[in-house]
Amino acid sequence: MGATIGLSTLRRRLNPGILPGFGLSLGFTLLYLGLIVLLPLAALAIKASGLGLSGLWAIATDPRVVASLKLSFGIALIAAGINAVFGVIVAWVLVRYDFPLKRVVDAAVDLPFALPTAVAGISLATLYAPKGWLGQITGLAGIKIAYTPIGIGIALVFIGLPFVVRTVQPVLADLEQEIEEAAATLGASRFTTITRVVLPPLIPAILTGFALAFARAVGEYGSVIFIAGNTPFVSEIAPLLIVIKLEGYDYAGATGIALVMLAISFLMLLVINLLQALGRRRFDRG
Amino acid sequence: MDIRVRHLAKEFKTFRALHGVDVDIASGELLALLGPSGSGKTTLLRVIAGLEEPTGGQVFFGDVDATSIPVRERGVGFVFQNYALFKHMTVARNIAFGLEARPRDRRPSSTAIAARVEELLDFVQLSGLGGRYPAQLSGGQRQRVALARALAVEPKVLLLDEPFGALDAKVRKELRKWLRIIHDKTGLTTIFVTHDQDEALELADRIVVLNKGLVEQIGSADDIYDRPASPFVYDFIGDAVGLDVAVQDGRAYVGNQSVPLGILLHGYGTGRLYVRPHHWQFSDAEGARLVGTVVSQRRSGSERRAEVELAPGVSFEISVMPGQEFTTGDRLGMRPQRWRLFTGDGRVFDPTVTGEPLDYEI
Amino acid sequence: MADDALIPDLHLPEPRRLPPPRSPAAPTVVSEGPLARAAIMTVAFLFLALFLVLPLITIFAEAFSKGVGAFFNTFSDSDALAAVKTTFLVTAIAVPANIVFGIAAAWAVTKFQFPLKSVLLTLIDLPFSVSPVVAGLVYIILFGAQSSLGPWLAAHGIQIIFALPGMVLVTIFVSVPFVARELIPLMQEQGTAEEEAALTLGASGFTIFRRVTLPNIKWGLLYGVLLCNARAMGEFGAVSVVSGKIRGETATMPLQIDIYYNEYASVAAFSIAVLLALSALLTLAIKAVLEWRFANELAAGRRH
Repeated sequence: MGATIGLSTLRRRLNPGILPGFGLSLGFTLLYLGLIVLLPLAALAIKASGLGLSGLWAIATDPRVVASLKLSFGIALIAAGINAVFGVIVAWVLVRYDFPLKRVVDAAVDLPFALPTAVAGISLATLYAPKGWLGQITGLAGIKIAYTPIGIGIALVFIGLPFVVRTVQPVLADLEQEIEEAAATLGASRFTTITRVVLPPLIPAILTGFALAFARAVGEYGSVIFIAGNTPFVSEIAPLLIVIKLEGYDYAGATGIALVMLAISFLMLLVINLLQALGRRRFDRG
Repeated sequence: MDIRVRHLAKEFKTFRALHGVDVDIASGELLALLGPSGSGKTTLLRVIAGLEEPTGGQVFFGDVDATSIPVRERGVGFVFQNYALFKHMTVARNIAFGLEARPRDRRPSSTAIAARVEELLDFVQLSGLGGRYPAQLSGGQRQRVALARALAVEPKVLLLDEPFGALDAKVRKELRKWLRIIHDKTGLTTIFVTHDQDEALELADRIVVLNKGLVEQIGSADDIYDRPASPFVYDFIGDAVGLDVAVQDGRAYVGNQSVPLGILLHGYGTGRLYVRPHHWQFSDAEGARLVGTVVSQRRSGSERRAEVELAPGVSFEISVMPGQEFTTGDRLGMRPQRWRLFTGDGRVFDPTVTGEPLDYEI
Repeated sequence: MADDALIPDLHLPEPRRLPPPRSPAAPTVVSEGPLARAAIMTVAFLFLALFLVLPLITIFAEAFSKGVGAFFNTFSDSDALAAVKTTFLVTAIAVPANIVFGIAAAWAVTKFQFPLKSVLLTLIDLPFSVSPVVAGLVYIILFGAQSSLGPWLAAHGIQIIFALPGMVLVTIFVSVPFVARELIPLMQEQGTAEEEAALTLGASGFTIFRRVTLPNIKWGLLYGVLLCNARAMGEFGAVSVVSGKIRGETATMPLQIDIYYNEYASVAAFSIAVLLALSALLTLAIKAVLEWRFANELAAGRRH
């Protein structure tokens, strides 16, 4: 009874609105998120605090850990960059040009979202292996892809491919072509029009897509481990090192690496939110 | 069902929508809530419906304090601004919804519901359209479905939020008359919100003029138009000129000219004098007139207006009667026939109903 | 009604306000020259062929490289069948749980005002920015044998890590946001007017949800469920960390692929991959149909 009265006074104080189900829906949401998301993350935080700052520092500065973090972040950055460039081109083609099977191509862009990462992983590994279709071709030029950092990059480009396309596409579609016509009447060349009139409003969307692709790539595991080769100091990504530490029952080591990765992920989340807010503020036509 | 609203207040997180509103609505009355956007008129309607919880005050339905009765049980028929029709249901299902949603023991049989739906479709002149979806109807038809849906549950009061806001001018005028007919037929206490003064003046028995969450005036169309209770109502309803005046020695001065008001004012200070453009009378009487210069003329709908300048920077519009001809540059002598003066310290003077004595013919 | 004649005939057609027709792909004065156009399209298609088409073809080519018989032979292995079963079991628990959560969260967020709403929204999105491996790790730290809960769980015979409950929990974790993220913007756009109308007509909360809200969000819900399901079925990193990869017991299809691949049973690995790829293609097809046919009933920013 007491709880019921407490809820109703709380409801009156909050004044959430008159539709039914406020307590039930919000209560369930908070309970679910608390148990599924917050509780485990809190367990990680507690575990990490048990290590102490010096313990964490020792883990984070271990040469093998440093090498894996550098590799993960470095290649994720390059892959996101590649996706930013090609993502804009693909979005442009999908929005501005007509061609047969356009709908199919448009739908196919989401394949990396729908295809399980392990499937993508073995497929890319097979494709780029020295005996694979593409591996043979690059082998002729003396370039080895599978089991090298380049292979990691290929996998990360694959899983990050849809992000930039899908953030840029709707913005580009909403862009009024009148502004390009205006630029044309003012005597601008097509190249000038695109670089000075069309691209600037797309920048927040491109950056958002870049950040999303980067965040996804940093933590990616399934598609990478098959093609990476997983040689310590050369092609061993941070998530894999966590798994290796776990298999060796080194929970402290795994926690330390996870904490560094989480910290950077949250930073990315913050950046993404800021970018989206910026995009809304500057380019929303209310 | 009569409705009494007492000291009603509503605060949202960032602003106060209502600051203590009192209104009495007689049973069977058709009442308009009129005001500019942000005046609190929609909030007042939603609080009466139970769609918003007030932060203070009460709403009585008859003798019952309805403030804490949830909207489900309050028995109001509410017509939403954009109708809020259920898009995925046919017109007939929309109208039947309220009856079908009743608990089993109070729910009419399906044949009774079907009969009621037919009756209402007939009532709002949409017979034969029961099988259509809202998207297949015109704006005016949707409006009538929304009304039929609200009437289906046999409400005690009918509340309409900007009922004609989303319609074009022609349909709007026709539906206006029609709402009056519906109201008279059902005999329901009806309250509607509008920002359109013509709509309120033409349709309602009485009008509540709201501004910034406060009642400026309650009265019939004649009260509101002929005897505006505040400068706000003058500015909001109809055309009027507001002149800043200085009150001293029983007279009101615009610049150095005294306005021939026909009565002796008392007190000192500033005030604002309101005169409608067609309430100026031309006068040659020396000393009992305001003298100005015609600076421009223009057509305004069915009449003509002249802009008269009293002094540099002080000018106002007057109506030009048929047969009168002015040329720009003409000097005119004028006196206000009907007017109201609101002084800075909150007193009101006018030629007929001022509570202050001492009529004094100059 | 005797005075019907008083009522004006209001069957006036409403002027239709359609946006001016303009195909976004129609050539205009502001289009690139044919040469530039061809170059841009070539680059885009080469990129997509390299990263989408070739990997997809590889899956099927490898699965059938030893003939159709070898492909079907994979599924006579009890481990492969067990993996299919485990995947369906995990998905069948995780997806409905996230559907209920997604609906509750969207209802709370879009139908009510309350403080710190943006914090809640960020929290819902949080699992997207956590590496799957880290997701698995946090559950091991919480429930594993070395955790403070570990001895208690063991004493009561409850096994979470290296067992199905752990796999279900991490799968829920990684797919938490999908349904909510689709429904929240959609229900935000739709507003609360229809629900309020139902309320003034006397409907109960459950009736309002079932008869007014649900029909309006059904396609959006399906869209979210589709994405949630794809992620839940395909999750690898998080599940592999907590599963222990016990053959025939805690191996889902993606984990079984890993097992076969490491044993150089390439055909078997790719045969299972074919099933998952077909399911992915089906997901994309339904998703495309939803976007094409019911675009208006999905959230405006429906693409993820």
